[in-house]
Amino acid sequence: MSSFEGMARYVSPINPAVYPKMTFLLMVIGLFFTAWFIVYEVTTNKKTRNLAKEFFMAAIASVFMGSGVFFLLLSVGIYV
Amino acid sequence: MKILSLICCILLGTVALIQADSNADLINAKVDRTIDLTSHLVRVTSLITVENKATSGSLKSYTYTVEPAHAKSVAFVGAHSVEGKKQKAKLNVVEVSKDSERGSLYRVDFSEELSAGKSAQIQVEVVLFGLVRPYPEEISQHEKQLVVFKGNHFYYSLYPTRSQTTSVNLASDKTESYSQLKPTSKSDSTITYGPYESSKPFEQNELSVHFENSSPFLTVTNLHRIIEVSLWGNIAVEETIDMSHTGAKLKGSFSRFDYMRRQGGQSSVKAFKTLLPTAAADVYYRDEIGNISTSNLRVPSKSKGEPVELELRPRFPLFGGWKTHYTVGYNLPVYQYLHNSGSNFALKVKLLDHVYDDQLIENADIKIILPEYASNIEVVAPYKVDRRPDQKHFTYLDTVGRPVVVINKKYAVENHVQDIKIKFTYNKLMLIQKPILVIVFFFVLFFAAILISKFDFSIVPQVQEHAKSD
Repeated sequence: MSSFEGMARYVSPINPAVYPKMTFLLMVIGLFFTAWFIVYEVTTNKKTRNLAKEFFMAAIASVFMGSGVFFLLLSVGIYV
Repeated sequence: MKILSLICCILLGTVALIQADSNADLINAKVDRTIDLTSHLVRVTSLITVENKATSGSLKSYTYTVEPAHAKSVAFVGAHSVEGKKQKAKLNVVEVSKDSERGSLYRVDFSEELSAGKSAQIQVEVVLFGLVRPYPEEISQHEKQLVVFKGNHFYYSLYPTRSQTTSVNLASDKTESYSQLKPTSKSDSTITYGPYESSKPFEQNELSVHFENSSPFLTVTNLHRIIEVSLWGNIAVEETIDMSHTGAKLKGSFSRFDYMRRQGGQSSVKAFKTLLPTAAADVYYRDEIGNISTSNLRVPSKSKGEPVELELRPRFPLFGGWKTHYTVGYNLPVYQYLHNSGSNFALKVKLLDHVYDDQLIENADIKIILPEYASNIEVVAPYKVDRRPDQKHFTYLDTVGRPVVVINKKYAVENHVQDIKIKFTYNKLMLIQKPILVIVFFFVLFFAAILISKFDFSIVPQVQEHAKSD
């Protein structure tokens, strides 16, 4: 039975089989930017620090870390 | 107000009765009744040849009657039209009335109207619970379980019956006693009563069988079934079950030595099988203490569509009056059960599932947890259920809570393993709400780090030259 009351099967936006791989990839990128952000924060002082660069790194790191952690939840079986 | 509603009830009741009785032209030309007593449930299958004696006019329905003594024990009534020996269309069955004098009346709608002078065959299946009683009520470990069943030699009906036979299938060929009403014959585990000719409407004559029955008298006293739907690809099902052995109670002490040494305790339950859907994965079986390791899972080849067999062995054998409590859970892929077009979604899952063969669930609480922000929930139940007010469920990354459809069903048997349909609307854009929530959380963390690094926490004001010296 492929259709039900004129409806097609619902398929999740991303195939659950690739959740672990996605988690790994996103987390690696996210952790890299997080590390870079931390290194940048500790190696610069208030004078040499560039706010735009900080925000840029923070934004990229949070996007990748956020989606990485989200898919980590999904891949361990916490289906939110 | 109360009186008014009472009057209304009485009026409606009489109208229903009059309607039921209006088919007085019907006659049961031939009835073949099988009473199946092989388990703790009573399955009465009646193959009825219905004849319309009237000279004119056609009839739409047949009224099936359950005798007063059994009226409160009905779990399921179903009907099929029969042609030759094959079951044809499923017929619609509606409960019309229930009273202590005439029993329960069920209206069975014919698939096509029965015109004057014609006859049709229908098969009515009734499942009754709690009528196979252990007698004696208490037995010791090495004794065998004897049960007694009381019924009716005649087919209890609103209509006169021309010719009828009843066969009673027992769980074993060992009987203590059985009632006789000539002609009666017994061969192995089957007792045949009849044929009896021309019996009157509502004719009763007590049938009683006292026999040995060692089948598992298991009853699920409470079942909590939780179905959690995630649009990220999963349906999580969890069943928490309170089960008790409702056969003859164990008298005296339980000897593990005797139990291991010989085949005593035949009516006790060592293990039972639960059938899970074919796609079930990540199955767990546990209780309060933790995982129960005595379980076996048999996964069939996926292509055949066979169910996954889960053999559960409780921590201890179940004797009469003993109870157990456990949880079984598994995951299902969402695409097999959820359909959508645009933002309209339709979920089709089993309202109740198989727990063990010949199951009886006294009270089932079913909770279906839909995705957060699902709205316009519409429930189409396969049979009459008690829908309780919707609830909210909060779990990981929830903000406003997930809507929960709460359903209660009393006295469910295997025939109630059917699909429930739930329709709801959900804006697919809300799917990314949860990852964004995590992203925002991380961004707040980074923002706090940026902010903190802007503050100066040193006690001594920093010297300008110190910065320059780097």
